[in-house]
Amino acid sequence: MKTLKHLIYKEWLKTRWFASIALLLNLGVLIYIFIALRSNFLSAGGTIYLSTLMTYKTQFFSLYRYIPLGIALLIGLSQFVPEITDKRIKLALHLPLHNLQIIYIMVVYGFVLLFLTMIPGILIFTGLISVYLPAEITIPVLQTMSPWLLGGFCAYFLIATIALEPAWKFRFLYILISYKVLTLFFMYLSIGNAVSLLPVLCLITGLSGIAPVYTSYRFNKGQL
Amino acid sequence: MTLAAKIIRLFLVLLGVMVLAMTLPELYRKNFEKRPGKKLIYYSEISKNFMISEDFSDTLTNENHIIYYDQTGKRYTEREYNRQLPFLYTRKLALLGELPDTINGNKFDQQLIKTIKRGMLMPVSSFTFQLNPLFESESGKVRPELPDDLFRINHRGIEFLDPETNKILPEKSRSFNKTLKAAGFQSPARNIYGIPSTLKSRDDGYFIIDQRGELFHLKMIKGRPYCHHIPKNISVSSMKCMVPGDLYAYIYDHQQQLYVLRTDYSIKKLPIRPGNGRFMYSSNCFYKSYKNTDNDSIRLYVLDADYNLADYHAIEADNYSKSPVAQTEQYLFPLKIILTPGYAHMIPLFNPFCRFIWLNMLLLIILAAIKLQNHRKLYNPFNLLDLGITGIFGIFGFIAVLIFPNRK
Repeated sequence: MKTLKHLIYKEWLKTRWFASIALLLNLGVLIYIFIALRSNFLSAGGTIYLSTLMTYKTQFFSLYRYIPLGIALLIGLSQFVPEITDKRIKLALHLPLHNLQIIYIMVVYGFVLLFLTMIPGILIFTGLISVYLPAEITIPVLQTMSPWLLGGFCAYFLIATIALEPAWKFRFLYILISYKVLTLFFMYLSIGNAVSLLPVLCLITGLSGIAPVYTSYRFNKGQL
Repeated sequence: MTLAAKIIRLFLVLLGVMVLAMTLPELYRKNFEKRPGKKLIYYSEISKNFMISEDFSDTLTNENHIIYYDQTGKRYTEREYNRQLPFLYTRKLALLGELPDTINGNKFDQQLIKTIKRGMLMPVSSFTFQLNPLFESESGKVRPELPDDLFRINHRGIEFLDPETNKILPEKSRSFNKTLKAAGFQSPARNIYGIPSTLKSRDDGYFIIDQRGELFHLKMIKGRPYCHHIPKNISVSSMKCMVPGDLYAYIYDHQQQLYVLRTDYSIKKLPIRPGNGRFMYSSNCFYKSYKNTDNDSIRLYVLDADYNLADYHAIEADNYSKSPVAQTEQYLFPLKIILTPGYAHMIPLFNPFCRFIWLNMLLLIILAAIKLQNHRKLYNPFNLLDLGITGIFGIFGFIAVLIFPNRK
């Protein structure tokens, strides 16, 4: 238990400033989108604004598209780059815990941090836009944003997978594969059209969540 | 490797196969495809013939020339060809002063030109918000005006929503609900079809499929609700509303057969083979033509003003699948995964030809040789699975297995 606390504290020390920036970035962008929506709604009038939004399927929230990816990069890189460049992870792997447990404490910590950075903001945003927009619009809006959020989680897991891979040639190949996988999450789709892709994206995110087990294997064996 | 890591590796290999099946065929086509000449086919209201143009452009030498001929093979010059299609080349012919005075005894004037309609019919409707403005259908104005409310039809029935306050208008909702119920409508609506825009000269309201699959016509006349049950013996898959004209809408059934819903509420099956269900339509006061392009052919159906078949012609499509590059592709890839444009439907297309099997076998032997060279036991279940994946997924499986190596 004490080791767990120490490990989490170590992760917190590495990521706290980056997580704070990510949290502010997430909230800032979402609040900005809401303020812009409110301003346009009030100046154009509700009927005209909603009618235009529905006719042209305006993505008033498009500014948010790459924010989850940015947050994943901030947290993922701040967490794993020092471990790899300084090979500090070797020290952690000497702790009296199973090596896979240590790796997964790090990964789950990052996942929870990412979740806490993004999801409360999204909940606040949903509550705020629901004041002005009916559920028929709010739900498709959230469905359209879902791939971006899943893309954030998937990107984080892929960063962990790549970082734990000891051989540079494989790291490079995994970066290429990850790039192609992530493009699926950030495709330009009209509002409501992403629903059919969500099960596939959830499956890929789930798979990327367990992928570090594979690359961390040689780390566990100390085959650096 | 632990068992868990080995199993996870297999999933990663399959993910790699998916990514490669999306990337490699696309890369191949982008780099080797020589765009084939484009064939266009139209129906001439003048000669009652099918007019065909064929583009022999070469993207490599930047040379191109177009030939024009009709269904009998008779050659035309570009000007002669344009003159046969006055509804298509109206502006060009007007500039050259070659517009006909009359067509089929009718004066070729603005009135006649205004009857031209063109568009596309797709069997799958795009996403629409289930929230629409109900326009006043008999406002007496040039264009419908945007109302102050929007309606939806959920399990509680029709609800009118004030967008300013995001609150329901109970009085109007009650009045329309009464009319819908009297017409036999059962909430909620499965789908609502209409043109929720003011950019139309006449409002025809909305066509709504209720919970049982019955079709209803809803509109507002002088502020009062109007709802009519439309009897039908087809199962509606999707609709495309048209306004204004002799039609309310095109209807697709679940077999992608096309029907028209006329303004007298009669439904007529069009004498058209559904094919892939995608049609480019073009209509004027004489004929309505529907063009369907698939992998093998371009089919053009010409219907008269009453939607009876007037003429039909099909030409062979000179598309990518018949080119030598595509033939080579059949030897390389056992499948490709495509994403439908605009939509996020991931569709795996399996290669119907088994030509890829030779490459798959060759790669399987190479992989077995690599494994033997690395002192791996071929009868190990995970090594056998690697060989199986290469045997099935060919080049994708081979690359994926090597990208995610089965470490000792």
